[in-house]
Amino acid sequence: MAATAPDAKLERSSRTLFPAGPTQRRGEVLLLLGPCVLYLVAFSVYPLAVSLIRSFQEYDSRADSWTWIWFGNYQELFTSPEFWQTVEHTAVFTFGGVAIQVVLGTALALFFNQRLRGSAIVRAILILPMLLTPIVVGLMWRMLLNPEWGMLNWLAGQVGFHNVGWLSDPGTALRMLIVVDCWQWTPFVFIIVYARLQTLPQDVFEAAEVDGATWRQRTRYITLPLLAPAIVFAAVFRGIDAFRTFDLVYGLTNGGPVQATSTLSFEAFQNGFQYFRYGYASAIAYVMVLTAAIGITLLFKVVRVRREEFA
Amino acid sequence: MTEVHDPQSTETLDVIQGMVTGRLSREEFVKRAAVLGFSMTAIGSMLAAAGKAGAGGFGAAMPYAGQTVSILVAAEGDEKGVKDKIGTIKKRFGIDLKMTALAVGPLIEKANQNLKAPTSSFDAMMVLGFTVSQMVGGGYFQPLNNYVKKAPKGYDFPKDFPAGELKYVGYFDVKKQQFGGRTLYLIPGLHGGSVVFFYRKDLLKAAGVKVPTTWGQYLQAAKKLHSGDVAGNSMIAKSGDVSMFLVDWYTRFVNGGGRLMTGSPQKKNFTPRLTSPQAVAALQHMVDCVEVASDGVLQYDFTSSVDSFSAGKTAMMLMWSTIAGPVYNPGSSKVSKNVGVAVPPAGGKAVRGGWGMGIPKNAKNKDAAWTVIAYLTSKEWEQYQTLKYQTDPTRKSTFFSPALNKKLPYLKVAGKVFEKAQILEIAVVPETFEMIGAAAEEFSAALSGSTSAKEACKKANDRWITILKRGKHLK
Repeated sequence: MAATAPDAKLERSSRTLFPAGPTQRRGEVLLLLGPCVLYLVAFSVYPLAVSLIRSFQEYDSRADSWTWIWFGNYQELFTSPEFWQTVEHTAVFTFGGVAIQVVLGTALALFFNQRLRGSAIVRAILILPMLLTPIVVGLMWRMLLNPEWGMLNWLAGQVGFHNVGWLSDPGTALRMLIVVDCWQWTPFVFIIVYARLQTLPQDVFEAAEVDGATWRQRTRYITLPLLAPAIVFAAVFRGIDAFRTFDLVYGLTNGGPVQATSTLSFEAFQNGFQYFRYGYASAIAYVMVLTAAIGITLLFKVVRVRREEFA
Repeated sequence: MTEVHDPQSTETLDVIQGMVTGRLSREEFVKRAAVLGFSMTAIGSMLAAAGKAGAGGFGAAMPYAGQTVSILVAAEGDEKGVKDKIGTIKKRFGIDLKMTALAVGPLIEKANQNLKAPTSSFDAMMVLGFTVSQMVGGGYFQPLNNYVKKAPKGYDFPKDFPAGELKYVGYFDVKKQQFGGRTLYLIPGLHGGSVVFFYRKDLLKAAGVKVPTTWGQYLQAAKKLHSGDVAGNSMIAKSGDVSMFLVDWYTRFVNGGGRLMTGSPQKKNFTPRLTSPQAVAALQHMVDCVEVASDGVLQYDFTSSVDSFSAGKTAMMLMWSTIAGPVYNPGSSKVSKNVGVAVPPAGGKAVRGGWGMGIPKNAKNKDAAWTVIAYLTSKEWEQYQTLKYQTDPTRKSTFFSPALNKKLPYLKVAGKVFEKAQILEIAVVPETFEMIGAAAEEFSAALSGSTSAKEACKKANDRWITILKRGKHLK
């Protein structure tokens, strides 16, 4: 059947850059979308495009000049043992940290959902770490972990462990970084999951209770499946955040000892702002962007989260 | 007729200040003073007093009055002395001084941005010795040879500055890309410094230990002095800290007869010698010293090390002389009366530190900036700064001033080390910081016991080779 005149007009306009709706004129569309598009081009597209170009160039700080080296930075990156070490640290930090935060945050949410006496106060205290800036958290924990006068070493001394080099031993430094990240961000997972818990339909639980389901069964077969979208949302959000963590590393360990806590963001910072290797730093940043994009896409495909469930 | 003027009157003060600072021209001053009722005799006397009588303008006395000069300084204590003297600069030269003080890292970044911009926001800036090759070598600074000829009486240039420091943060040969030459780009300042050896006189005396003059003696003394309350020695051992390499490792290395590099970047055969016996021995000595240091030494930067010494928890340490001055200050140090100071063991050599101050080529107020630089690198300001804030000077007259040495006994020793301090061989390439950082990271593995000194030196050497090849300083 041939398309009617208005249909044809609609189809034509939908093929253009700024499609007009049936009751809109193109001028209106441009006026409404234009500022937003300009903003995106200026603050997202342009910087991304420039840094992509830079990732194929080398900067000479003495001459203040850029030379095309094409895939030279990427080649150096992928053949550098330090880079792969950094990838490993980032992966351990991201997956390890987020897994712990999800488990702890969910457990806390379930615990506080029992509405125990005084839980409102404890809940408020619990979310305090989240309000601190990561650089402050890093410095604070550096003091707590000080081997000479830090509180943790004093506590360790009370139970027979002396002179623990929490941050100076390459074997423990990354673990401590994860611990501190969990201290700060578990409350975030807790809040998301706890908020979702408050909205779950109570009749399902009442019916299960009438049917004789135990607390463990109700949690396993009803609560957790219903909480899944919120947990996935919190995990993805935290995953992205942990993947690009810089300030905590800077404040707590400065990437050391012996690069044992150097993450991709820190590596990019060090190369870009300390060694003026802007091209190489841009290449690291692009690897990060691509990894994050691919990772998130895969994650959403695997867990098959429906958008409307977040609402 | 008797003239009656209220000296506090705002208008009168404004006119007088306007003349003194140069804000008002001679003609404007005469007009406004006449309106206020001053007699011609009074006006003439004031003009004569200000050196403005006759045809010449006030420019002859304060040529840059009313101008604003922006400077970028290191937040390493220098900013305090500069801040104190902003009023003096205004009063004496009529210049409004605006200062930005930053820590080393952000300062380098900010300086680089400004040097490469069409116009620099700063009319003068401090340049760290290790970045001279990058900044001055890039041709971004104004030659100062003509300016220094017009320096005020008593400026005493170049006689009062150590030749080595002038070569390092003064003259640079942009064509050959090497330190020295005939073109002056920077004036050494606002602070200099090298590495000296600090010890606790009381503890050494009580233990019957002589001041160590060899590295073997240093280790023995550290072992003997190490107790539950006081660490035998301290060092900068934080992973990747550039001062670990420069203060603790390089001092041991260079006094052990080590030579860091062979060849030259120009010939593209600039080769590191971090696997040499002297390099490994220097690191091994540090590893041995960690055993008789504080529990937290592996996290020590220079501030922690100085704080630990000042708190009476450390018996000996090598330290930047410019950082350690406060150990003599009773207000910040518990051990101020018991601090001894000596040149580093086994030769008294150390790395040359310090800053230079120069004018970017793209600065707006170059002439006014020179006036400020000349003041901030003068004997007057330097002595004030050294006495009040204990940063290291660059002038010989300050280092060896009897009056200052009475209060700061380390100065004379610091001056001796400073005079013969060595320019770090790799300071001539722009990758200096990256190389030092890489070595400091690898060395920290040996200090924490995760690897041997030999292996750490080899890894550091390999990383240096990679960096040098990338920078085209080595084929």
